[in-house]
Amino acid sequence: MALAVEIQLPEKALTRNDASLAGLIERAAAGESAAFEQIMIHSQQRVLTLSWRMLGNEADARDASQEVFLRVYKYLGRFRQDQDFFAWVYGITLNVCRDILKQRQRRSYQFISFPSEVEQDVVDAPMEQDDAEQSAIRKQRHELISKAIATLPYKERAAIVLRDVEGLSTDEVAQVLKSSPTTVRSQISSARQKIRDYCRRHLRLEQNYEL
Amino acid sequence: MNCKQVEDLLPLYLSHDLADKQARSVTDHLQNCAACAVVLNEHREAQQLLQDFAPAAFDAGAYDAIRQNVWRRIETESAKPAVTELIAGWFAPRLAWAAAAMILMAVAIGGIYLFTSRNTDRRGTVVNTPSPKVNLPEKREGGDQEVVAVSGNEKRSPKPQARPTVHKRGRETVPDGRETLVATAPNASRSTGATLDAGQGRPVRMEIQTSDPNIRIIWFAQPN
Repeated sequence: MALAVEIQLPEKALTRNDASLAGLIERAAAGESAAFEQIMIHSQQRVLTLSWRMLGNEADARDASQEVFLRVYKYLGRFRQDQDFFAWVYGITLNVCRDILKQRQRRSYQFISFPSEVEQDVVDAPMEQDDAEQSAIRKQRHELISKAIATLPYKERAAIVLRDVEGLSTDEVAQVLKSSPTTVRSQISSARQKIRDYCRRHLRLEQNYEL
Repeated sequence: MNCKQVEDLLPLYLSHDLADKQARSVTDHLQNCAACAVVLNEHREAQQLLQDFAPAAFDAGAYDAIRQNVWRRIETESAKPAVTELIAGWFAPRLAWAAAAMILMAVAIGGIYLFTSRNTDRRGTVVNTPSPKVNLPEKREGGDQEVVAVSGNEKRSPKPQARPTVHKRGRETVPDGRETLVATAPNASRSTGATLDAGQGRPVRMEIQTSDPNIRIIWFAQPN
């Protein structure tokens, strides 16, 4: 029995700061607004997407992104050029997301991945050309994985989103989370196990329901 | 390697995060175990779901709105003074007054302390080197003579009069009270059998036991 176990991770890993980015950072840290605007444009997609994946809805993800860029602006002077800039930004993003999740817990809100119609639209938008059945299946799978991620503890959630969704290597995840690769591997292993269990359980339930 | 061990390793096996030896063992096991192969497929499906977990592309308006809000907040925050400045500005005159008041209080407390401690020293001197009021002993026939003196700090002593003393081998012990001091006649020894007569002009040996049991003051006085 031949087994294909290769998995394709997204090709969006951290990259060393190139010269242009380093120059932008230096100028922005010196107070040049145009340079900071460029930095935001350069990193906005990563920040917003990671926030969305961590928080599960666009409204919170937008709020988080604003807060992230404010902190980047505020603390850019402390950034060392030997650091990876996106690892640093990812670290700030995760901190902001953690704060928002804590606020939610304090307000006794449950983490609901797609709480509003806005989120439904986000999912539906790229699927307009698909037939209705395919669209429904995708939406169902999307919701399933979103809820599965929501069941994870914060650290495991951060580790698996960075590793399996954002496509960072284990070492890069450890760098972002300021942890050791061994710890990250353990968190990722536990998170994958839980997600697989969650999906298996719910898919089985759905199959029983359909039968 | 059994199925349980393999199942535990599968999440990391998927992403090649296992050591070579472990990975080879898992591969060998999977080739002969259909059940574990099914579990592996479930992991792969979950992994695929994870990789598909992405929002629809946000439109440019969303990014523009975020950047504009960031600049607005930066302007707002830079316009208003920092919290520390605000606190410093608000409390600066009060802090100056508070500091001056604290200095004055420190000086006053120091002065009171010095004054009090000086008085205490003086009173301590009185206690430690009292000028005892000597009740000259009455003459007893053939008996020892002793003088019981009361310290100068008579205010503290509820009974300034001579207290009964306990005799033990010619020495007295003070049964109570710090202020009660005892003077013993110099020739109060039974062996000599001499009696003290203050009127005879012979020197009187005075012993005073202070409140500290290690300090006993002894002096000789010429009776008038």
